[in-house]
Amino acid sequence: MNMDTSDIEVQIERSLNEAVRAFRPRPPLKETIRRRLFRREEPKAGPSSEGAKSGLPNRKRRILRIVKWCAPAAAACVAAALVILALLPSPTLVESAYAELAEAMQKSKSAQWVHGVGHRGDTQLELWICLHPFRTIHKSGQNVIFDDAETCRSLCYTHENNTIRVEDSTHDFRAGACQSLLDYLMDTITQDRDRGALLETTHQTVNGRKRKVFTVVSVDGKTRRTLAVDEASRRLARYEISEHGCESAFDFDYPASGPEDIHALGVPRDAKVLDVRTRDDHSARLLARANLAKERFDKTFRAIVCEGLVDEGTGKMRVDTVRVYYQRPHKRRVEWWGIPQGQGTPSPDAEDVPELERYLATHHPANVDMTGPGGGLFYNLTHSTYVGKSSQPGEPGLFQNLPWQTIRDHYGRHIPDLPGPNGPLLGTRNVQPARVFNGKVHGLPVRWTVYLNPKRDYVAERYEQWIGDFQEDWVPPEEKAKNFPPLSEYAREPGKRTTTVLDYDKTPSGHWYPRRRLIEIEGKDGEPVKRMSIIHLDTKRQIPDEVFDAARFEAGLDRPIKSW
Amino acid sequence: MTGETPSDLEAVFDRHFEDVYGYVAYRLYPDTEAAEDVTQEVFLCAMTGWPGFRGNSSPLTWLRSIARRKVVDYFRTRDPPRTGVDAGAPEQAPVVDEPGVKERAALIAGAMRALPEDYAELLEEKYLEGLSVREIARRRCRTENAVSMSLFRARRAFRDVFVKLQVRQETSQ
Repeated sequence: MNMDTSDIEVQIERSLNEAVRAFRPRPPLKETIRRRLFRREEPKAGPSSEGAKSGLPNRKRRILRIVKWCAPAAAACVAAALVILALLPSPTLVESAYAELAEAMQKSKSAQWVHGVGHRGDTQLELWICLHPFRTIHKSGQNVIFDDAETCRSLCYTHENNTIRVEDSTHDFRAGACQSLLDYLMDTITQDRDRGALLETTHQTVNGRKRKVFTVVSVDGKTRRTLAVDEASRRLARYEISEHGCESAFDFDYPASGPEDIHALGVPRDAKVLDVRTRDDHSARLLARANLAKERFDKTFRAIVCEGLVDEGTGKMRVDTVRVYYQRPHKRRVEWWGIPQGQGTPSPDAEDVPELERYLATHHPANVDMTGPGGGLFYNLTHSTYVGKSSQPGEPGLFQNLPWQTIRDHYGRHIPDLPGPNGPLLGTRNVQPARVFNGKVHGLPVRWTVYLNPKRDYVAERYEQWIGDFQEDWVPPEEKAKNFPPLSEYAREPGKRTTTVLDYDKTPSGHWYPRRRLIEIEGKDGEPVKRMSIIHLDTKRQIPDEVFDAARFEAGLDRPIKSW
Repeated sequence: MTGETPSDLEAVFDRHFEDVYGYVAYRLYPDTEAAEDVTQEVFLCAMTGWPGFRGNSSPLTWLRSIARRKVVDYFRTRDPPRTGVDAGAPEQAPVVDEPGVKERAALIAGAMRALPEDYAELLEEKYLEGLSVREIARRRCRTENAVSMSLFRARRAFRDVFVKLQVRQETSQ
C-alpha cells in the first residue's frame, strides 16, 4: 500500500473491506450458532466429544462443563440466598427508612445555622453552614475556609504562614447540585440506595434524648455511613463515616446565629491578605444572583429541547437535535437524539409536542447521561459501549440549554449594560485562557460576553462566544507572562456564536425561562448559520423512578453495566 | 422493524454471518477462538435486541455496531492487550488462501488495533460501513467539521502506523 498517494481514502476503504473478507469461519460454526439461536436443540453426545461434535467454541464448552459440575452447589447457594433474602428488611421498609432520612435532611436544612463538631482521624474539625444567605465555614485544626456564595468569595486561612488567600468561590459550580454537607449527604445516600447498599435502623439514647440510627453500608462493604436523627426534633444529630480505614464523625446542633467573619473562628486580625480573585466585584455579584435564581428554579420537570437550522427562505426550523431532560431532586437524566437529515427523511415539528413525543417513542436516543453530584452514568448507544461512570460529575449541560447559560467565571469583568426589549441587561465578560503545555497550544482561548436580565430571573438573554479570536486587551496578565506563540499561528477554527432569547415563558411556580432562542454561528470563512432552540418545559409531569434506573435501561440494546 | 419474526432474523443471520465473523476475526486476529466466541455473542445479543430493531440502518450496519461493541468489550476485559503483527501466528488461521492476503490482512488488523479506539471506530464507520460525514456527525452528535477533522487525523494516524508495521514486517523477513 503506497500511503503517499493522494487517494488514501480509497486505499483505506479497499484495505478494510479486503481485511474483513479475508477471514472465513470454520464450516460447523455457523450451523452450531444457528441451532442455538433459532432451534434451541443441542446434539446428544457423550461428555468427551460433546464440544468437538457440536462445533461450539472452546470457551463455551468449558462453561458447559463447569455448569454441569457445579449444578448441585448452585442449588445449595440459591437456597441459602433465599434464606438470607427472607431475613433482610422488606423493600417497603427500606424505602420508608430512606424517606425518613430525606425528611430529616430537609428539616435540618430549615434551620438558619447548622453547626458540626467532629474529627477526621486525629484532626479536629468544625463546620458552620448558614443557609440564608448561603455560606459555609470549615475549620480543620487551625486552618479555616470561609465560603460566601453571596459575594462569590472564598477566604482560605493557612495557619502555617498566617495568610488569608481571597479566592473566587467555587460555590457557583455547585449551586443547585451540592450546596452543603447536608445536600452532599443526601446525594451520596441516594446513590448508595440506587447501587443496592444495605440499610439497617436501630435506636439509641444519648444524654436522655432518643435517636433513630440509620446505618448504610455500600455494596462492596468498604463504606459505612451512620446517621443519627434526633427523634424529637427530627433533625440530624450525628454523622459518622468509615471509609478505606479512615473514620470521621460530626455532632450537629442548630444555633440561632453563627460567626460573622473568619476572625470569629480564631484567625488573627493581623494575618496577611493575598487577593488572587480573577473576577471583579460586579461579575461576582452577578454570578451569585444568577446562581441563586438557578437554585430557586423548579426542581422537578421534564424538558424537550429542540434545535435545528433555520431555513433562510421560509424562516421555518428543521429539527436535527433533540435533548430530553428529566430532573428530580438528586436525579437527572439527559437523552440526546440526533435526527438524520437525508432527503425525504421526516423531521418532527419543533412546536408540536405530541408529534415530538410520538417521534421519541419510536426511536432510540443516541446517548443518555444520568448524572449526580458524585458522578454519573454515561451511555453511548451508537458507537461503543461507553457505559460507566462519567468523569464529569455535577451539573450537566442542563442549565446551558434551559434557563441560564453557565457563566464562566474566569477573569470576570464588568462591561456596560445593554438595553433590551425586556428591560436593561447587566453584562459581564469572561475569558478562558488557552491551554498551553510544553510550548504548544492544546486548547483554544474562548471569551464570552453575557447579558443577564435582572427582571427575568437573571436569564442570560444575550450570550456571545468567540473561539480562537483573542483580542490583545482581553489577555489576562498571567497569560501574557507565558509568552506562547501569537494566536494567529494556531487559531484554526475561529468563530463567533451568539445566542439571543426571542421570547420567554413562565413556569406555574412563577419562574421565567427562555422558550425560543436564536443561535447565530459565524465562521471565519463562509456564511453565518442560523439555528433555533425551542424549549418545551413541563413542571407538572410526574417522573417515575424507572426513568433514573439504569437497570431498567431499554431492553434489547445490550447495555452491560460497567464502571471504570 | 418492529413486528418482524425470528425467522426474519434467521434470514439476516444467513445473509450476514460471514460478514460479521469476518469483521470480528479481523479485529481479533490472530485469536480464532476468541473470534468464534465473540461472533456467537454478537448473534445472541442480536437475537435479544431484534424486537427493538427498527430498521433505522441496514441489518448489517446494526450487526456491525453490536460486533464493534463486543470486540471493544473483549479487549477491555482481557489483559495484556496483544498488538497486531507482534501477536504471533494463529494456530488455525481462518484466512483465505491467496498469496499475500493473510499478511496484508494481518497488517491492517494490527494497524487498526494500534490506533486509538475512537480513530479505528471512525475509520470503520466511514470506510467499512460507508457512512457519510454527515451521518457520522449525526450519529455522534458532533458537527460535520469536527468529524472531518477527526477523520483527517485518523487517516494520518492509520497511515503512520501502517507504514511502521509494514517496515517492521519487511525487516523481520
